[in-house]
Amino acid sequence: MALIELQHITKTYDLGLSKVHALRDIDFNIEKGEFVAIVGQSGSGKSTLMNILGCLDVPTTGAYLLGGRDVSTLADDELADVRNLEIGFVFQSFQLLPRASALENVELPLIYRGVSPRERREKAKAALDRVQLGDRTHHKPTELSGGQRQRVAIARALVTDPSLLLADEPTGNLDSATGEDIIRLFLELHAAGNTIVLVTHEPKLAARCPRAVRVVDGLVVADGEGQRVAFENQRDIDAAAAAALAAQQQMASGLSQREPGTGAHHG
Amino acid sequence: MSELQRSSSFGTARPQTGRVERFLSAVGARRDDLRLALQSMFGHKLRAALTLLGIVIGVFTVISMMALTQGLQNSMNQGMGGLGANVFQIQKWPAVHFGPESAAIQKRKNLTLAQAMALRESLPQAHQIGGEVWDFGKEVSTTENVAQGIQVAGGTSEFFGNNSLPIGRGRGFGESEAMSGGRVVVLGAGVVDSLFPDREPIGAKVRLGHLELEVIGIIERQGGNPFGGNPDNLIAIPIGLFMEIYGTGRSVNITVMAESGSNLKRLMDQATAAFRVVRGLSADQDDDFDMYSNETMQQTFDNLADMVKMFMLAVCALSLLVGGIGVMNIMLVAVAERTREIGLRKALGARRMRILMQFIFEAVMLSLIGGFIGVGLGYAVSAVVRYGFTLPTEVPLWAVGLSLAVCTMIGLVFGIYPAARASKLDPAVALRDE
Repeated sequence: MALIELQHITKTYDLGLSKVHALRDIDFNIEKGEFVAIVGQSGSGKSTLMNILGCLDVPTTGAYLLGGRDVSTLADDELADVRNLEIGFVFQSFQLLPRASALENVELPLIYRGVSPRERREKAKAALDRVQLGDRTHHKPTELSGGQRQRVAIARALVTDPSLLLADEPTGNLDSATGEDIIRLFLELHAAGNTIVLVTHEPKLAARCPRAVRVVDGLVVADGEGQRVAFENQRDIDAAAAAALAAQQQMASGLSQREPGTGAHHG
Repeated sequence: MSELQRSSSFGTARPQTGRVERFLSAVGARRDDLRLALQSMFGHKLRAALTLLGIVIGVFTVISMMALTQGLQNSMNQGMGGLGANVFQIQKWPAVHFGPESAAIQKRKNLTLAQAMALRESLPQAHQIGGEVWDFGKEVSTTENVAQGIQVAGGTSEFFGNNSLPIGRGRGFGESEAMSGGRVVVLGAGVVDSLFPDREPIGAKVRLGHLELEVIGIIERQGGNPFGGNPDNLIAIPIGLFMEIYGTGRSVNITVMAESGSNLKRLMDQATAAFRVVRGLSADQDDDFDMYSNETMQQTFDNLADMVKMFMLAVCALSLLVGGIGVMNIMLVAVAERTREIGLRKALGARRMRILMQFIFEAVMLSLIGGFIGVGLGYAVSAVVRYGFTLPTEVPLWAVGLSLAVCTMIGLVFGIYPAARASKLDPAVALRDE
């Protein structure tokens, strides 16, 4: 059984006068231990898909089985429990509490799980060690670099030992070198057996993942090996751009051919 | 398959299941809420302080006013007007009166010594009846020393008994001495301190106005009573002498002492009837005099104190309402400001109730801190008045308890709406808040 089964998921936002079909028919599985990129442009529906995968939102129709259990019809508090127990979030803007230390930030999900303070401290410390921040436990986010902040966020996601690590543009606010560090960290975590879903608009990032799912207009248009899905699409874009360029050139050359006689009347 | 096993429990139960563990976890959760609330409050000290102003003022007002009122009452109890226990007084003016006197009271004629004597005749069941006249701010001197700001009482021989001012040493003046205006004086202990620091006063001469008087007795020391002046800074002279010096223009106060063990209230009724005759009032006329005993005075004052208390409570309730609205306002601001934080907490698994509790806690903490500051300031004012003005103020514990309870209620009531708003935020939307 797959860890995640998405069965004909649709999501429609009712804006009163109009309806927005953010997801039309999403249907794929993610196995335990996979590292999957969900790639798409803004407006493609990938954020809606991420919200549903993260149990922040429920689909309009269809079923979402997480670990074999249908979570698509749960109430708010039940979803909160699922998020707490099953999912570790990593956000583009880190989302750390500014006045809390790195350790306190990492402890946060354990507070909501009802873990005793001492155990919380130990687990948070271990999670920070795992992201090589064992020596920064008492630093406030403002005293940390962007890459370190994101690693605190990753430690926070890992501290509950979740079934699914869900990262939303985790390198979006980082320079490329720091972003590369974070990607490597995700690859290490994947190698250690974690299931990771990475949501991004960057084909280059998707290409680093073993598997990528491309979402366009609320539909999955490609699903396969990361590099192939990312580059295949890149080839499509290149091809489309080349075709457009060719057409433009053709038109331009056509115009220039006709120009001596008819130029004044044309256009 | 560990995920699957774990999955089977999620949504319905937290990892801990036992009742005790659940309780401990709830206690732990509240402690975390408390910590979170304090953290966010100290992050915005100035804003929190400004928000608290309304509550601080409300609580401060109620505590300090209650302390003052209580102080006045204590003071009344300690040395009420100087009248003896089974004594009442008849006088021209109402004993306790606020605002301008009515025209009828203004037109009242003075009570005279003759009327006091007439009452003596018509009220034989009384133990003794005396007359007295007062003046204030006088100067008494010996050849060496001067005492200023002295109260001068002109009395009949009953003066000392009826005002419970027992003679400590020497003697008081007798009946004939009082009426004829003998050149004698009885000194209060405070006056003795000023005029005779190092010699025997009895038999010595003191000067009052243009007359030289012989000291014949000393009143027992009464001890400080700030309410109505220091009773030891007093001299008593025969009423005849008083009128010789200051004239007969003052209204005489008539003091009546009942036989011990008799019914004071009944005697007061009888005295009213008898004195109406003395004053020549017809049946359809109102009394043109007032009568009070320690007890009726006490009642009047207690009623007044109760009114003051009720009024203060109303003022306080209003200011606490304003304070509460301030708390609600600042909590709404906090919720708006921390939308992303709320989204994050929800994403990390905080249930609605936890978010609700966190913000209610914050509101309660906020208003309770205001309450404690107000109580502290109230105690400070009470202490200043107590030691600075020697009024025996006392902060009633019920006022402290009530204030803090009301503050908690305010936090709860005005915190619920913002907290409910926070708890209902959609995490997906809240996380994207800019």
